[in-house]
Parts: sequence; C-alpha cells; structure tokens
Amino acid sequence: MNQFINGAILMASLVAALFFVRFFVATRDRLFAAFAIAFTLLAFERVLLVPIEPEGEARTFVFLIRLVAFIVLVVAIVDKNRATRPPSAGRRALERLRSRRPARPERNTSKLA
Amino acid sequence: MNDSGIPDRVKAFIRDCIDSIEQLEALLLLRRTPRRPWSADAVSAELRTNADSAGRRLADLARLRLLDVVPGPDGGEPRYVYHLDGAHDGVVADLDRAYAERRVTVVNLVIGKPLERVRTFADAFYFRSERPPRSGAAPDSAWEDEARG
Amino acid sequence: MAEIVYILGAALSALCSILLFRGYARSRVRLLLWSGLCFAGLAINNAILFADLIVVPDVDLSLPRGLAGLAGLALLLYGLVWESL
Repeated sequence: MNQFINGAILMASLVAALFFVRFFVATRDRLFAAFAIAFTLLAFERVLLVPIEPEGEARTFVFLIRLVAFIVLVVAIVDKNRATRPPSAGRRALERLRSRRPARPERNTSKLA
Repeated sequence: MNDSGIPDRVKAFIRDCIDSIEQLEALLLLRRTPRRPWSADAVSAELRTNADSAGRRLADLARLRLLDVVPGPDGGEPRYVYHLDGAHDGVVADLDRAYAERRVTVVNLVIGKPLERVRTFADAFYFRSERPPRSGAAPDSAWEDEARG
Repeated sequence: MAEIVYILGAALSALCSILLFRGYARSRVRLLLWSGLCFAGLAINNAILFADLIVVPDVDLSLPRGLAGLAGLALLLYGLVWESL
C-alpha cells in the first residue's frame, strides 16, 4: 500500500514539475523553475524510497534530497522578494537598441557595445 | 491608472466576464443593435463562427446578465438581446471603444488570461502587498509607456 | 538531523500555503486555492513524518502521511489542469 501511494506521489510530483516547467517557459519567472526543480527532487526522493522500508525513510540519507528541495524553494522565494526594482537600466537600454529607438541621452548604453 | 490606454475597469471586466474573442464580438454585436433579439444561428452567421459555439457564448453572456433571454418565435430556440440600462453598460461602451482603437491590446488581454492566472501564482510569493514588478519579458505596453516618456 | 529537515519542511510548506491562500483571497484565482491546499497537505505530510520519527516512533504513521501528501498533490494537479485553458 505504501509503495502504491509512493508511486502515485512520484507520478503526481513529476506531472506538477512538468507544469511548472511549462509555466517557466511561458513567463520566464525563475520561481517556476525553482518549483519545477523542487517537485522533481521530491519525485526523485520517492524513487529512492522504493528499496527502503517506510520506517527507515526517516533514518536514511533520503532526507537530504528533501532538504535540497526546500533550499531551492527558499532561495527562489527570497530571490523573488529581492527583485524590488523595475527592469534594470541595462535591460531597458538593450530593449531600446533592439527596437532602434533613440536611447535617452542621460542613460549609459556603452556597456552593451 | 491607465496602462497601454485601456481603462482599469475595462481590464477588470475582461478579466471577470470575457473568456474568448468570439464572446467579446458577440457582446459588442448585440450592443450595437440594442433592441433586436438575435438567435445563435444569426450571430454565428454574422460572426462567421460555429453555431453551437455562438450559442454557448450567448448563454454565458446571459448568465452574466449582460444579455436577456427572450423566447424564440413559436417556442423555438431562445433568442438574446442586449440588456439595456444595466450597470455594465458604461464599461461595455468603454470596451467597444477600446476594441476599436486598440484591438491587439484588447485581444491580448483576453487571450492572455490563463497566463495571467499563472503569473498570479508567482505574485503570491511576493511578501509585500503591492503588485510586484514582472520578471521576464517586458509587456508590449512598455513601449507605449516609454514613448510617452 | 532528519528531524530538523522535516520540521523545516513543514514550516516552509505551511508558509507557501499561507502565501497562496493570501494570494487567493486577493485575486480569487482558483489555481492559488488548489496550490495552497497542496502545500497544506505537504505541511501535514512533513508534520506527520516528524511525529512518526519523534513523538510516536512505535506507531507506524506511514499511511496517513502518505495520504496527506497524495491528497495535496492531487488537488494541485486538479488546479493545474483546469487552469491551463
């Protein structure tokens, strides 16, 4: 029964990770990449539990994988909250160059040459 | 405040009520002929879409109380008429104007709804209450903002 | 060491759940509701795992913790599938 549930959790985690990959590709928001990685790690953790008794789960190195998944999520959330400034001056200048509109004279675009 | 020329209440209306371009065009079509009841077949012929799908869109609009349902002639298919004097009329008028003047922006607002829902997921992890700056590709409206200076 | 990881996991999952519920309260986007429930389920999963390890090590809680995790993920999948269109 536990293996059955583990298998279901594995599959569900992988599918969720796939959705998050798709969201990342569509929005380019790093948070979704982090969620994709985290859920993939949780799925991988389930794979490793296959040869291990459920009572042994807590006492094996498998918890390290879960730790990495949590760290990835924490870093992503912190990263999202640190992005408090609007798109950087460098990126705006780059976009302006792409559209061939004149750059504002006070901005320094030379670093993109 | 306005962003890319579309009033906020129009954006909110699109977010809450408009799920497809077909639905948008059906609503605006019926609004332009305010007292004329339309059947699904007539709307589908006018919009050049599938009749079943037109019927579903009209039913959705009726459920939102943007249209009124009137019984068809001789008990046939129901017909739909624009609901006059409703609270929504001002917003729909703005939407009509916006669709005429900034068609691509309005279309993108409708088409982009699922992706906007996804972005809301990411926004939830922003601790502060105000809307966070978007990471990733800049929206098209950024050009107009910069042009305005 | 594993105990700390599972407590942290429960706390982090609970935080994600709260953030998502707050987002749902603001935006009414249902994806956030299902995601919030998923992370609540994962928090419960981690909490039961911790309980299984420390509080009642002689009792096997593998079934309820597995079900909590699975229920959370099932709700997430439901939300992801329906929000794609």
